[in-house]
Amino acid sequence: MTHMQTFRPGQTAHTPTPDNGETDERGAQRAPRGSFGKPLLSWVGLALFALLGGLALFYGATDYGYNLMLSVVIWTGLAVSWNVFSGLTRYLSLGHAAFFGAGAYAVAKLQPVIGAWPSLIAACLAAGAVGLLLGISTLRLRGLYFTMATIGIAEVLRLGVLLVPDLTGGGTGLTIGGLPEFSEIYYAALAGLIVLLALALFAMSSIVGARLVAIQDDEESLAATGIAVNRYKIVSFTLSVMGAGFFGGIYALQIGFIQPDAVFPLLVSLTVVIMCMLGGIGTFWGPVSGAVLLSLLREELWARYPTVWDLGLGLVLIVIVIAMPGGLLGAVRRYVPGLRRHLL
Amino acid sequence: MDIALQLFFSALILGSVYSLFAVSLNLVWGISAVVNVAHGSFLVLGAYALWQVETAGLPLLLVVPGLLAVAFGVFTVAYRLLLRALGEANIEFGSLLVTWGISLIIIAALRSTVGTELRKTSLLSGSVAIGSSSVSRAGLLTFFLAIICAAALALFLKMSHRGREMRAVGSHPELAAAVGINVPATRALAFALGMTLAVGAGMLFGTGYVFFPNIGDHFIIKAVAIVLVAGLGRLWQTWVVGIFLAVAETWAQYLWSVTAAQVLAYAMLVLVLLVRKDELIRLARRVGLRPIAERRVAAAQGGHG
Repeated sequence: MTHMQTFRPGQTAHTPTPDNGETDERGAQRAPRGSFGKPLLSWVGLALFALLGGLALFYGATDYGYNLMLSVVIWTGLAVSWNVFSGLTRYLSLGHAAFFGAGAYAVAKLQPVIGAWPSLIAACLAAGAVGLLLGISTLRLRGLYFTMATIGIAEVLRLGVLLVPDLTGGGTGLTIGGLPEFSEIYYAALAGLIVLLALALFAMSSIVGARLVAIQDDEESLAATGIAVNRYKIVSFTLSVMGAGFFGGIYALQIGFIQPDAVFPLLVSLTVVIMCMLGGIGTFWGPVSGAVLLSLLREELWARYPTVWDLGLGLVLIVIVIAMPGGLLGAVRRYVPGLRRHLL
Repeated sequence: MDIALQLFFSALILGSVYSLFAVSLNLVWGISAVVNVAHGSFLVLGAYALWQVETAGLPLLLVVPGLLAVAFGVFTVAYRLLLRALGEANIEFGSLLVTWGISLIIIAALRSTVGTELRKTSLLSGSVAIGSSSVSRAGLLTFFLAIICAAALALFLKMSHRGREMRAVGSHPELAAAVGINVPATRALAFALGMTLAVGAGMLFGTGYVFFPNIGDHFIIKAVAIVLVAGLGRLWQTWVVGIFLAVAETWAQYLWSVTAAQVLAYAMLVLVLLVRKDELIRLARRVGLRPIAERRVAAAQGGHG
């Protein structure tokens, strides 16, 4: 060990807290850090979620209904893909919009050439490529500096798009023609989301999730078990942001028109983080519930009362960070302690 | 030659605002360990406060110092509240997110009260001829006031007892506590000082430039880039880098485009994160950011993976 245990007034020496409760030394509620085992209830819940999404065929078969559901699916996908890496490792990324935007631009450029569905795969790859580059260059940075770098990347991409208008349409954006029906896009998005959720649930309830949480807790010890920690971080980060790329592509197909200011803003990245924090960062159902709740609210408020939406978002963020770092799911788990074994 | 001189003067004036603002961020971040994303919003608040005072026709020389004094008091209390709400161990990331919320609220409040129109004050008009080019009076005032503020701050940090305590807390909080310095009180003072300076920088900005509620977003990222290049706790370096960025931006805007000028700050940020990684890791430890930071530093120095 190269670090010294130093005395800090007003604070007890830090020892890794056992993962059996949600209170820290101050007695305050702390964020849950994932749990492992056989989360049967979560798989059942996932099946129900898929069923619920599929039922949209009966109750939402209008363009408005599909659009609403699409927004919910897109935000949920973004939140889940963010949470798998940043929620578990606590390498907080504030650049999720970069991957979302990379996916959107990939679809906008490639859809006329290779068709809508293959271009979604290209969207994943484009986001993955950006993620790989960012991961290789910045994941050695610790904590805050990684966050700073991620804030930079979305802006760099946005400005980059503005700098080469011949290729990207610049500030005026790109219009995509010959789009599929809303219902088709919706089912493609839902299928993508179910696959993403299943992968995330599988990862979180297996050794992969345990290792990601170990990155949060103690990278040295993880390295001592023979894991190449940096490579592990880069690979998991790259895989997780591919999800964001997919939903960026879906967004491009849904709207049919993209513009740097619409797909790269910091507010998108921040909204994703707030959704995860509202539900419960580092849990499986937290980001899903937070994203569904907030995206429905957003549809109601954002277009009509943008100021109210921003004010509310700011308040929610402050209240959650200060009063309930475990989010909604953390609060539920506090009252039903046995739940976390079965419901991630 | 003429153009070059003119560009140099306008860069110097813009740079003095950048520098003062970055210096204030450096105080808040480097000494009180609060990562204040809302820093830019407080700059905007300063500009709007000046505008409000001017449109209301209040006596400027009386009201502005009064406002700054009130702000100082409020920020002192705010730091205590923030520390209590977040806990010492969580202050860095906690404050990043909380101040982001504050920033959203401030911008939304400004948009709904004063609107999104571009505003400017008209306190000082006219310009002064310097050689073959001319500089606006407002610009000159901005430049000299910014220099005076920064010099006063530097003297305070260098010469006074409180200032030395602050530097000690900035460079090693544990040792500072061990020799009997009241760390929370010192950090509260640094926080209040830095935040008040940010509001002051906003007022200076308001004398010579147009502003709107969201303009703080541009400033905060530039200030972060400047502080990271200069180093936490290094005031004169911050000043020089701020001027440098303004000169580079002014030329980029003149030669290419506004977008090219905006890219510079991000390019600087990304470059410094890549090039000075090791030093940043050491700095993270110096700011005293808690066991996790230390453990991770240790892991980083082990160089595995």
